[in-house]
Amino acid sequence: MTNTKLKSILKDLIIDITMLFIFLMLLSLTLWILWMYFLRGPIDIETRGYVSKTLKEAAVQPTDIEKYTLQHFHNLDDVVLKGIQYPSNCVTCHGDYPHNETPKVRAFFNAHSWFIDCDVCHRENNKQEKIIYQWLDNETDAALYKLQDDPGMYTARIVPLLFENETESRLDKLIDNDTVSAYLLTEDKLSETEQSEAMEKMHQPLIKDPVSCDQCHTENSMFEFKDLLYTDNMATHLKSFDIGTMIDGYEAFHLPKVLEPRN
Amino acid sequence: MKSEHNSGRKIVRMTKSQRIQHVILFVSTTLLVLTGFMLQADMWLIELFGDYGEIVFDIRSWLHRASGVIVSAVCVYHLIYVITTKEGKSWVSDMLPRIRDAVDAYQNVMFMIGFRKQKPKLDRFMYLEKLEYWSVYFGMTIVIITGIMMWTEYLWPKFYLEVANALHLGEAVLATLAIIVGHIFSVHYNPHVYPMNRTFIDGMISEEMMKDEHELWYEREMKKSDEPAAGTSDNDKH
Repeated sequence: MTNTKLKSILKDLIIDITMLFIFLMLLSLTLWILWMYFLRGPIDIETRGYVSKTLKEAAVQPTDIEKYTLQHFHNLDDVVLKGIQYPSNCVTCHGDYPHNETPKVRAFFNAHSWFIDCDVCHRENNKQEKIIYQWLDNETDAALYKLQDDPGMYTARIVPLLFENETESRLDKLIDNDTVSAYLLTEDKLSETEQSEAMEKMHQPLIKDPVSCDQCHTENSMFEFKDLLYTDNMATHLKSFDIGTMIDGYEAFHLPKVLEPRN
Repeated sequence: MKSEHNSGRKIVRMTKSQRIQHVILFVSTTLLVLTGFMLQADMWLIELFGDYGEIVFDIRSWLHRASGVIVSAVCVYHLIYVITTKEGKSWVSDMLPRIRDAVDAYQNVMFMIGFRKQKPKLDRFMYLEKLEYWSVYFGMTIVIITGIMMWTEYLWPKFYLEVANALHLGEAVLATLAIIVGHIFSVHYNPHVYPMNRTFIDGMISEEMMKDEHELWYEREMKKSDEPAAGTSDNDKH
């Protein structure tokens, strides 16, 4: 075999191997796309869950309590715990999901309770004070510097802080814990007047009419959403929610009568 | 393995402008496929990037958008090109679907499965090339519109975004499979040109291949001139 012929064979072999390699790469890509699209099913790029499966299936294997919660029609408050290590003192009496008086909209409010401290909306907002809002980790109370995981599932909540003399002080502990505990222990022994006075004292820093939807989801929101670590897009989205218009235009929520309580 | 049509006269099949458009489309589409399908990778694959995952996906995101803009620009340029230039008009005119294409398709299938002795005489662009070309218009319209919608996600209700996302992914799957199977394998892994159809680089097609795969076009060009092949050249003059 001459040298030239050998070189030619070698050249052809290199070309064939290269083309075979490209062929295999393209074949793998083709098979992967077919598998991904038709067998596994696409992934939702927002939630990273599989589009073809329900949210429940896509979630990490839930604990027994979470399973019960997911299956329960009402998602009971005593099952869906927020798991806040040092919650606002309001929770001692009112629980994690206290908005039960208005059945039609309680889901809206309770959904917000998941990640917003009571004092954000219910505390009297003295305009002369400089109040800032911050995400605090539910377990450690440490301030967050980045929002991770799915929207609303940051395992943290927004807490108001008073900014005064270059220092920040928490505003979610306005009601003295000892007062609350003492009241609960002696409640039965107090007269109606004493109970009323104690209640008034405990609720003194709070307002009866809380912050409404259109004070947050509006261009002139009381929050600067970007400071709350939201992305530019998300901040714009939260400010541009039609919820303000909805509240103005539909003062009453019209739900099907079948959902009305029967009493 | 060597190609069967790699010698003899060469005829211009793609002009310089067409080749540049094709190369830009090829590079940006490859980037779009790679950076787009990265989003569909399973978590374990993404975790391989480790601490660099975030920056890799940040770059991915902007590379995908940049490639999308380039592809859109090429599409717009191509539309202007086929409307305003002589060679563009000739290109799109030869690409228009005709009843003859259906006849060609039927006869070619019959030939391939052995029920016909003669291969049909195909024109400058055969039915599959026309299908592929017009599919690009269809596909690009979908991916560009839905891509813009997803880029401006804050302007759209969630339902529209979900529809856009489904269409974008579905069209991406269809287009990628069509490119790999219908274009790369049939054009470059074709035994006539293996290991590569060089037309997209030098713009030329061999006289033998033209005669074999586009006989009708070949005969028409022959009639136009007394020369052996109209526009025959060994060098790219465009």
